[in-house]
Amino acid sequence: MIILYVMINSLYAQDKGKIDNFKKFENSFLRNFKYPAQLQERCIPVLTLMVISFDQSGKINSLSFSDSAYPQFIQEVQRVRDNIDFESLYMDLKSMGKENEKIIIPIQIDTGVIDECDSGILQFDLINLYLFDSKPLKGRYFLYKKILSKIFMARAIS
Amino acid sequence: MRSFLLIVIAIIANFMHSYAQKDPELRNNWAKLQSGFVKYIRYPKELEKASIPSFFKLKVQYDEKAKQYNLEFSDSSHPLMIKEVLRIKDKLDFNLVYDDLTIEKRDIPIIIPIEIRLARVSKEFSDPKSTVSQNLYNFKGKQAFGNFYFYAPLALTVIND
Repeated sequence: MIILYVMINSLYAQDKGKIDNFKKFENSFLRNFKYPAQLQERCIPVLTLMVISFDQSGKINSLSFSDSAYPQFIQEVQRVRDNIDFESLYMDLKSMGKENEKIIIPIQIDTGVIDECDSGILQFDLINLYLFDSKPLKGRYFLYKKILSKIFMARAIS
Repeated sequence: MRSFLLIVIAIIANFMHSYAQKDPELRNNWAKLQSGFVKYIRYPKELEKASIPSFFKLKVQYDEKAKQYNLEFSDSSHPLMIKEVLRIKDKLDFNLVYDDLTIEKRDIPIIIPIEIRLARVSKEFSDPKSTVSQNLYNFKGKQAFGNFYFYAPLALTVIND
């Protein structure tokens, strides 16, 4: 029995205009990110807030996710972190003079296995979306564009 | 059943009261705003019966000229909840948020999540087709973008059956 996994990564159409720096960042994020199998098999979506800040030289100062992010997701982001084009994000922020702010990027990646299951967001996820180490988000932030995508798996059994 | 509920409420109220006296954190500005919210908000019966919770963002912008706060609701809010929050808006003192964050200038809007959590949630709410999570930060179809002061949620848990 051969099991073939086909990844379908359909980006929601957000901005159809020019490929800006944010798009470059988002594309590099989604291209490198492999949906954790444990989550995908159980149709568990990613819904989280990414908070990021840069130092004076443009290097990542801190990167964190709200409590609704599963450990498998965080592990995967850490694994591909060096391949994600954070520089484009930084350039984008710099062009707006916002490079010193704490940035929030909402992330939602829906998932599922075709003909088996399709992910949905639970009340529990929405409560945890706004918490960081069990404390609600509080203070001044720069709310940035979101990363919104769907990564489905098709199982072909022969 | 009703008297049982009243007893439970009385116990909780008593507990909250004595707790608030001991813990200075609970006497803070957020607690004042939250207690006003919990005291006056009435979750629309229609939503409660249909087991539909509410998760949306309230964007609060101070209008310097009119000396008042203008409210906007993110696209994940139900029209009945918009109506309800507008009904009690004078009971919510948003000055507390700026006091809490020790901000003098009020030019940057505040984002406050509103969370009405239900003990029992309908399947439809968590359906893959639901747009609640996608619309959390959208206002009239456009995602909020820019500087904001984020604040702790105003939350209420409703035991529906």
